[in-house]
Amino acid sequence: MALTKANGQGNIFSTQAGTISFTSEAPLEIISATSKKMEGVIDVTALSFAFAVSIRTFEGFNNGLQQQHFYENYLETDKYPTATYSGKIIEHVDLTKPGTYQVRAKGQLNIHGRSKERILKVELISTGSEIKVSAAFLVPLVDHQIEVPRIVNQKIAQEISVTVHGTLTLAVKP
Amino acid sequence: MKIYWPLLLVFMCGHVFSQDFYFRKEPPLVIEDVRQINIIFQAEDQMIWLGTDKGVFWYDGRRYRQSLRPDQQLKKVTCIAQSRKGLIWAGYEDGYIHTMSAHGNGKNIVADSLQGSLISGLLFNNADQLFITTYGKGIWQLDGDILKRVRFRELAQIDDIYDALFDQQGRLWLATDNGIWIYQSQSPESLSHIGQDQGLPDEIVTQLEMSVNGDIWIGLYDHGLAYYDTDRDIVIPLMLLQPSLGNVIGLCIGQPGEGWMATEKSIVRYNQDGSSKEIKLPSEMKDRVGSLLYDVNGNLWVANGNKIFVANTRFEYTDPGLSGIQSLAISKDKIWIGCESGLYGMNRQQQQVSRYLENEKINILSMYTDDAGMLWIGTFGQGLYCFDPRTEKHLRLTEKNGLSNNSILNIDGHGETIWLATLGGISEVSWKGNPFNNEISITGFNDKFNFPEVYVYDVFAAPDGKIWFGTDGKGLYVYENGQFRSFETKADTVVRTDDHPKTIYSIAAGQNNTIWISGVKGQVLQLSESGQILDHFQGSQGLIKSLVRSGVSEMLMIREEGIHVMNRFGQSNLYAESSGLSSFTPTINAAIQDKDGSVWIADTDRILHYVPCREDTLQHVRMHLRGVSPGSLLTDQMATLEADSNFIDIRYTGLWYQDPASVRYRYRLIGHDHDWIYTQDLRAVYSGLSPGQYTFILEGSHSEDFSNAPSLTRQFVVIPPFYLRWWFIAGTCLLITWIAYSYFTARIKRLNKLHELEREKTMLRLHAIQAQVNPHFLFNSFNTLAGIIEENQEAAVDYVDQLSGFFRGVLTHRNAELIRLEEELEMVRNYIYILQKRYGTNLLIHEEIAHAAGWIAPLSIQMLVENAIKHNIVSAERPLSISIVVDQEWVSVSNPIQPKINAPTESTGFGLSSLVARYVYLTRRKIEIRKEQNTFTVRIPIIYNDKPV
Repeated sequence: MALTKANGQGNIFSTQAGTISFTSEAPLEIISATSKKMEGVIDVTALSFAFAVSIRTFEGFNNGLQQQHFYENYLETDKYPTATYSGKIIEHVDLTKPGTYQVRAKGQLNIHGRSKERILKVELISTGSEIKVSAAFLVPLVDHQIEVPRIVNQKIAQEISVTVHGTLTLAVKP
Repeated sequence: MKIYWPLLLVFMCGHVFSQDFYFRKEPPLVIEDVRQINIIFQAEDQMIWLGTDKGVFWYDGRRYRQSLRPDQQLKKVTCIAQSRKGLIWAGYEDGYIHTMSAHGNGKNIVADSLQGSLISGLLFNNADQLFITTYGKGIWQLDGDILKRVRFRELAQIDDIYDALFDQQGRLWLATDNGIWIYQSQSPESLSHIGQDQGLPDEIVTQLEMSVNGDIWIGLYDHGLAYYDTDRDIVIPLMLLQPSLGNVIGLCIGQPGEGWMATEKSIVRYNQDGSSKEIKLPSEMKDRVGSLLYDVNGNLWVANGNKIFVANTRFEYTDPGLSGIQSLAISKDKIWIGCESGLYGMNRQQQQVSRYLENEKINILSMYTDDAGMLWIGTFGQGLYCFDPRTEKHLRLTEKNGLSNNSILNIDGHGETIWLATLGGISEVSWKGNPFNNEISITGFNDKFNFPEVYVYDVFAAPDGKIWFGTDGKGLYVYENGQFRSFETKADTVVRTDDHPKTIYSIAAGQNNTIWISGVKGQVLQLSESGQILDHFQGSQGLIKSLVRSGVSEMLMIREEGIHVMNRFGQSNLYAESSGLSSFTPTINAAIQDKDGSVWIADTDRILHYVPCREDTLQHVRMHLRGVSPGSLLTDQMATLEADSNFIDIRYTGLWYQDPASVRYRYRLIGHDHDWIYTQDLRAVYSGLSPGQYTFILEGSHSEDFSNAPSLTRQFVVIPPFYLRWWFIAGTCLLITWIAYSYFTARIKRLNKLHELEREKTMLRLHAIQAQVNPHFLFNSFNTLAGIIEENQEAAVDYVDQLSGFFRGVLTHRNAELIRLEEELEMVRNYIYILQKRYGTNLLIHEEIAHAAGWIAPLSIQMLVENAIKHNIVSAERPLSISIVVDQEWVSVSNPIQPKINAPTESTGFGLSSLVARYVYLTRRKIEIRKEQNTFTVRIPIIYNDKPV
């Protein structure tokens, strides 16, 4: 299937149901949660991307209080409801051709209202009509000024491991 | 650029071993709430500059000082660079760029076009032109005052530039997400690219560093290290970092061929032989590694949060997990460790420590590897062992076999002979071939040479074949060509005889067949072949436990306080507690030089490895002037100080980052101080300086020895206050001289004038008197008298009375300047009587005397009367009437003008004029002469105040 540029627009692959999970492994506790409502877009011509997830869609905490602390105190979701990552793909790859691509995504990771530029290794498996995204990376809390009180220090890790999976499909051309 | 496949052999992956440096923690930078130090930069003058998230600071080893940017904002610094002229530049994350000096003054670059974009690099090409690389806005060039964007084909695509440099050919290298771009601006303008096709292992390049030979070290964010060889124009991958170590965020070049990489969690050193070592970071490093710097003295600086850690990379520590380490020996693949509890071997890559000779409980004091690879072990009380590492067989020799003593402190030898320094003298052990299979012969020197049974601490086999022995109390012995003798040190002018050591702990080789010895009192002497003392080391007061050479020309002197490293210039550095060497307990002669020149030192429970500098540099404190008053002393021109600002205030610091606390200074103001002032203060103040010329000299040193210290000199002159200036004094003298001269000249003139006046007065008076003794008058008077005598005897007597009265008056008043008016009138009457007798009724004298007080010149009225008669007709037909009027102020004598036909016989002008002249001296009012309406009047002022003296 040949994909052609139409009206000067690039080819956009997108998803509304990507999965993003994080895990905090601390000496006294392991906490993890997952959201299945990650939104993402990749423009294969411009090789740019944008991903976003609403923090409130994470589920799986050990208890409700923990979840509440995460939202209200640490991440302050009333002020910063969304975490985003957007930027460009460094390697010049043609994602319209089927194949597996190990690329680096470089962009601004914005969590808790603070942006940090990150270069993340991402695996893209393209079938031509679909792109599967997987990535795993660490997010240091200090990068995004996520402050955890000393009392719970032993229960929350300073670096959170995050994994991302998603399948993006070609957007319907207008 | 092609890859040379064989060079891939150099490509090492994996083997990263832990290596310890001692990191000294510098005082934290707590000014302005700094969170992260991103950049550590060392300038040409060795000053350390720090780029933080709150601006620029500079650090002299003691204190941090802020260098505010001109708009006073505190922003994150993203690059620091130094121009060819020496000016320091800083770039910030918001596009701001400015320059500064250590004194804090700055000027900035106004760049609206750059505003908001992060400045990732400030670089200067060979012509010292500034190029600016940004993150997002490409490359810019500062041309005079104008900022222009560099546009060249694909360069326009490049937005994020991580790092940049100018290579030795003047080309601009750019590290980007898409490999390396090399731009040449000089014609021909060209752009080339190094990417994966050209051998670059990965496209994301974040670091570029150029070594002194022009080759470029390449730091790859996700990968590790690569190398560009300029001569062969190829890229060589060097090293792939384990992913667990993180991404490469810093790169710097250490010794030639040595690259240091920093990731956020770790530091890795890549060595030129292809091996690499991960540096164990101190446990205090909790934050991320922000920046890495290898400074000019070989220290490694690591920024961690707002803290800085500095390590001396010359010394590495290894902790083999043993205690009681007393001896070390080297073989090709192992470091042998002799402990109180036995023998251990450490794999050279320091991966493993294994126990050997497990069944032998030996307390090892000394070890020696011979040329065949056998390890000879000297123990405490258990004799000598020979251990074959290959077969792990051993044999043992004791006193029973002929050794002089079972406690062997030191072993050295060459070929197939070794000598043992023991607690009971010296033994020589030799063999042929394999000592396990053949006979070993032992010779005791005690018997053979009558050597006493003293402790022998050290034996040293010198390169020239001599064997030296250091004994306890008996001095130095030498064994040469079968001869064994005591070696005397010759008397020396510098070193006192009782300082010549008799107990010698350690011996090492010097240059040109000299040797160095260390004595129990801490003396370290260099001896020539004949025993002359060539040199001695002054810096130590304590016992030197080992002397060992390092590298080609360095000497290490090891004491409990620390290690002195002396270079070939005689300068020494002390590496001690303040540099990180804490709780150092070296054992005697437990230091040994390795084949590569490095030195292994046993420290009871750890092993130090000293790697000498490959470059032999002079190491001294770098002096800095922080602030001076007056400012004219900043330059080294002669400064001039006014008399009212006769003080100097000099604030300085000495840079010696190895051990800032050890820096001491001395200064001296020549013209004021007799001698040096030694201090650890950072300020020299002198006030109340008297006028004159001064020279201020300041030196800094990190040891007690200032002989090699560089000095900072400033000269100035204090101008004397204006009243001491030469021109003022000269002028004043001249003025005084002139005044004196004028005064005296004037006085002389005045005196002369007075004298003249006196003379004139006298002359005038003389003339007056002379005029009075007028022969004519006498003649006429006598004529008249003769006439009267005939007529009337009484009348004649009266006449003679009057005449004599007149002349009496003349006589009486001949010297006076002034006489009473009454007296003059008396004389005038006398005169008139005489005249009347002569002229009869032809002369009519009219007197009107209202007043008769005051003073008048003598014979003045008389003279006027006389004049009147002289000049006028006095006859019957024309009688002359003279009126004399005296009032309060004047005496007037007037007569009608009826001039004689004949001119008078005497010039009477003189008489009247002389009278007028006399009166000039007598009073202010002048004699008045009037001729009006045929009446001639002369008025003489009457003098009241000016009485004659």
